[in-house]
Amino acid sequence: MFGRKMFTATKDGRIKVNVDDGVLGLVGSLSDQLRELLLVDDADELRRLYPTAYPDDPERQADFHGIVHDQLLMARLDAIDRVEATLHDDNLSIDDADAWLSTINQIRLVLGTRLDVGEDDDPIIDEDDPRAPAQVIYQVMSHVLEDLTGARASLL
Amino acid sequence: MTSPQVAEPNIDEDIVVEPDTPWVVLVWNDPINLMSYVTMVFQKLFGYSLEKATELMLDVHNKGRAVVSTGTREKAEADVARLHEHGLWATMQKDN
Repeated sequence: MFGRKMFTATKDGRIKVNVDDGVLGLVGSLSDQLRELLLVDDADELRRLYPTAYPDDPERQADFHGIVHDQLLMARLDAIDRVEATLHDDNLSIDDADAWLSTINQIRLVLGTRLDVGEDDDPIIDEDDPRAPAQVIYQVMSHVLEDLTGARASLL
Repeated sequence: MTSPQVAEPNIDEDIVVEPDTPWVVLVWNDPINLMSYVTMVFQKLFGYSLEKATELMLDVHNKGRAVVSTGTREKAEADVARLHEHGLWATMQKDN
């Protein structure tokens, strides 16, 4: 599945997409699930998407949260809309790619939080583990993000 | 941070914090964000070279955290918000 590059930067500053339909379908459905989850205000799985800016100052943290939370939410919903609008495009603009990066990274943060991923986790998945399907999805999203990051970085 | 089958370059240098700036923005290590992604975000948000961004990413990875920007409280808040938008674990504090 990962023998070839899924994303390649082109000379005209765009990113060519060469992703399996199955993986694209996964990105689409996980993006849709992310949108639903983002709209659940107190979902614990979202905690990595809204870190605490002022860990030692609750008052300033409350002000920061009040200003930034809704801006981040709107930016994230816009990014998901852009991913869905360009999901089957042959190539992406830089702005499209940034929306994909943002959305796929958020999907990984939510999945990783749900799976309680640790720094030294064994990358080999135990097929008998009930978490195996979610771990496979997490690894697929990791490869997609790694590949897209490489293509995007070459256009910086 | 993590990385799917990517070799880590062996770079380990202390970053420099300007002495007169009152607020620092810190990025903390987490087990989910990809090393390549974190490096790319540092380049994109702060205009750092690949070398500088990689050095900061490795500081986060190996030392647990790194100062990625400094400045006024307003600037630090804006930087933290942009880092949060990109899914990085960023905090800010007064420079000691």
